[in-house]
Amino acid sequence: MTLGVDSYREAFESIRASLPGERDAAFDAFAAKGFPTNRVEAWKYTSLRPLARQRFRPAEPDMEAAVPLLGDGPRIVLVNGFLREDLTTVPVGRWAGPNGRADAEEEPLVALNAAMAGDGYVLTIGDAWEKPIEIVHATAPGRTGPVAQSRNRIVVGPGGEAHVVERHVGLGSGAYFVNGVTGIEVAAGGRLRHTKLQEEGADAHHLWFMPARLGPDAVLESTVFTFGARLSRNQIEADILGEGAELSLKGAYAVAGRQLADHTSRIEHRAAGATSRQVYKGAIGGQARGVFQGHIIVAEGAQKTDGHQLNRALLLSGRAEIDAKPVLEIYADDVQCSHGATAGDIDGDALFYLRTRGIPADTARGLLVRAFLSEISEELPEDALRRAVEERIDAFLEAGA
Amino acid sequence: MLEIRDLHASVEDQAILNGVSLSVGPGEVHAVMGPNGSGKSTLSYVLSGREGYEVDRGEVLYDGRDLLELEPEERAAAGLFLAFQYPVEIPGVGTMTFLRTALNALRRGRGEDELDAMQFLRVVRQKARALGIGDDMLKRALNVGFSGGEKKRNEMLQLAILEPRLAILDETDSGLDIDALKVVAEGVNALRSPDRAMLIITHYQRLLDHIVPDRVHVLAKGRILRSGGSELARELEAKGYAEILSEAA
Ligand SMILES: Nc1ncnc2c1ncn2[C@@H]1O[C@H](COP(=O)(O)OP(=O)(O)O)[C@@H](O)[C@H]1O
Repeated sequence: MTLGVDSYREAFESIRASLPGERDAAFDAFAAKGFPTNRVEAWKYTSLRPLARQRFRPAEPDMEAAVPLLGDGPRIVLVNGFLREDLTTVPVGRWAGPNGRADAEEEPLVALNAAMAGDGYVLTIGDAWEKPIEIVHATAPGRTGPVAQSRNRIVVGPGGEAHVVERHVGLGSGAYFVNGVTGIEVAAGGRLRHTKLQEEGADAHHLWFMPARLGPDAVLESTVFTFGARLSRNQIEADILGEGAELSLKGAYAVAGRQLADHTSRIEHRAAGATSRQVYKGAIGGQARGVFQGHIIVAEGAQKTDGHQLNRALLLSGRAEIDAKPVLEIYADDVQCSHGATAGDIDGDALFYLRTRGIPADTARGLLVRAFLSEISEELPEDALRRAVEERIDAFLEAGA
Repeated sequence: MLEIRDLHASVEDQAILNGVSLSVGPGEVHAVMGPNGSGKSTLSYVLSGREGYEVDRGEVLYDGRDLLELEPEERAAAGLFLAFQYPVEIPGVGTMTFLRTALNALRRGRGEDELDAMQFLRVVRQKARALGIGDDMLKRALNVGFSGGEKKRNEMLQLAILEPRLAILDETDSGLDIDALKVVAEGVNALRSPDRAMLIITHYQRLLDHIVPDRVHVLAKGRILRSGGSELARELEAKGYAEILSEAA
């Protein structure tokens, strides 16, 4: 029995007629496997069983909802997975369907997205953008929990350079499921800074896939901040195809209660002389769980690869948990690769030192958690964005994680 | 002001203090001297409330209150300050943020208005200058990458800014060259006042050349073996601890 297939088949059939492109192959690819169970290695630590059992109706466009924005610069707005042209100020293309070739999709949920996504932006960066481009993915839970699926692409051409900020927000309270894709391609010499701010509603499930491809001397820096959702997974699969490319993946997350935050990455060095850096830091309180899976593959011939990953977790309660699984798979002999993982509670010496100065224990703990996460957030180039992240961290601390 | 009575304390079930009694009045400066391992740091940690330091017997009164039942931050609010032997490095916490958070927490506790950024900056600049601390040091993360001497000066800066009523200085002289020692001693002397007491913990006498104590106590094997005036420090310097230890044996 495959997990979740029946209810999604029903949902798929109810909307198939309205979807552009050929979808059946994609749905069949999903249906062949269903939602991954814990028996699938890549999903060992994150169980989708409760999610797969929940019924969601396919999300519909909402052309009315007001969407909170971070800045007043160029922007792209999607609600329930559909582009809001009225709120979008950047010229974008639209996704037109999977062209029937989705059977190649390995990840069943990406196939499900290919089958059911009704819309998605295609952003092409041909030259240098001075201001950050804000992209909002908002979902309105409504009365019946929707599943919103959009399929998006960012294409950075040679000489293209931009900072793209993708924000994920819930409009109101209630359960919903977001199953999205943002594909990223950075061509030779292009540069993309990509920041993701995940602030979904408390009862949301958020699964987002980011396949990325880097050409020669391409630079991609992608940083994710995870605060929201009951369960979330940010999955990056990056293929380094060009020599001298630079990839940096960073993440900071703060979760509490019964949240689960999963950060999974797979970087394949297929060209020589490229670098990849990964640093993920999480503050985990309550009975929350963090999952980090970092997989670096260095293909034969990808000599002079420089690949490092680090995962650090701060466990703020006795029942908080982190599962970290770094994997290095190396088929070249002249490479420099490393991985490391640490997990621990707040440094008792530091806490004591602060308290002897009259700083109350809660405040001191807050200072230390902020300090821990600031390694990632202080690199944000925009003040408004940095403040938004800091406010989320403050809210996390005030909630008494 | 501080009254330690028959204090017994242990760490990890190992008895370290075996009946320390000591009384420090307002305005007084006392030195606690002793060989390595005699329990000096343990005494300072028990007084400041560090976790893991168990009091097995005795009591400590501070202005007549039971000091030992207070949390570390409550002790600070009551006017206690410990200058650490090994100040802790805290990456990601800016020195200025830290100083301001600490000062404002204490001011709130004393019912005073918090200082805004400008007022605070003025206070810090002035006190930092007196201790030879430059802006670059204040801009760094707390104690991170500070030299031993810089860390000690940073402790003295905190002392000057937080203005405690009872300061415990744990091995403040270690890691300081002679010029830095003088700067620190001047800073400490400037803070001497009729209502501020100090407990200076040290292995060597050299700091006491510059900060002349009213009383000197010799701590060994977790007990005070002798007490005397400032001349006792010089006697120890000349003869070493061996004689006192053997006298007591
Ligand atoms: N955490 C600890 N666990 C076990 N023994 C300790 C610990 N801290 C200190 N001690 C022991 O307590 C004794 C006194 O130490 P300390 O107070 O640091 O002395 P001093 O500061 O005079 O050098 C030493 O014998 C030391 O080994």
